[in-house]
Amino acid sequence: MSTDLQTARFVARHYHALQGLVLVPVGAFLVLFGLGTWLGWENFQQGNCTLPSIILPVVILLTIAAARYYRQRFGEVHRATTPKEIWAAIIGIIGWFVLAMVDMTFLQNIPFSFTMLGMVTFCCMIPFASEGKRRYYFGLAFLLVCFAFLPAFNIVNKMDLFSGQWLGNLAIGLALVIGGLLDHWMLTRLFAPVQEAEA
Amino acid sequence: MSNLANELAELDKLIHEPARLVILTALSAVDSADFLFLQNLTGLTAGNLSGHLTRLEEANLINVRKEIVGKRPKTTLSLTQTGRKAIDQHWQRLNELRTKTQASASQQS
Repeated sequence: MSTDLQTARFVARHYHALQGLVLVPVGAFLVLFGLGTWLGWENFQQGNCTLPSIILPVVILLTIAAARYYRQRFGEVHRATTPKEIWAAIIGIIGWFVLAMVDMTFLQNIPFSFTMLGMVTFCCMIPFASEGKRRYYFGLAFLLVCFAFLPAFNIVNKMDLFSGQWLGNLAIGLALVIGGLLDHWMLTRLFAPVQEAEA
Repeated sequence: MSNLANELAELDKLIHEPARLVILTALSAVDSADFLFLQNLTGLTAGNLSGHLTRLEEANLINVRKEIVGKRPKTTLSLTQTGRKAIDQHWQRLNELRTKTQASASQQS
């Protein structure tokens, strides 16, 4: 018996949130989409949706497979979602949408990606929602802020290096991949190794 | 101090045993969990965990639901109302004891 009571309570409460591999395929898709747009790959340009529409079902399948892996490897937990959590998710999505609209409509000449602020806020909120744990999300928030300032290089270099949607996709995708892998690492670390049966 | 020792001795042994306390604490944070999750959480062998769960079920602290899902047996566990009340009271007693111990330690120093 190597699990302490605080750990037991934390893992039980946040078991679904710690299933990080579920996020990785979505993040990898966003990274691929961002890179494709940046590097000008034909299949990722506006109006050409063939490759993304093939990849998207694969992403959904991988996400389902990851959720199944957790169910079969670590077991299942049922916890009724509180209305507070549902409201927080709805407010988060609306806030993100508003930021994206403001960014696209009014702030195109400002060298800062305001859309990414939504993800930065999300990353900063996670450690507070996880009883002070998962602090690596603060690091990811910092990484996103750095990415958000990249368009400023356009003014310095007088080049169009860091504009467009690809930057947001790449940064948010990277945050999801890294955050997901770290969550998975934390979950597997917190579970006690199963003892061997005594002979 | 002997009073505190007596109070500690009076704690419900069925709940206060480390493995069972972890099981009940984890179940108190959720609606239900399956056997595999509790095994991963506690690190106990299947037989050992099964023994603890049987004792808790006999004391009417947990509900055990067994079903077959896709040709596989699945055991789901949840706290009964008695179990939830018992674990809450146990934590309350532990907190009271901790407060008393801290108070008596500060009086002595």
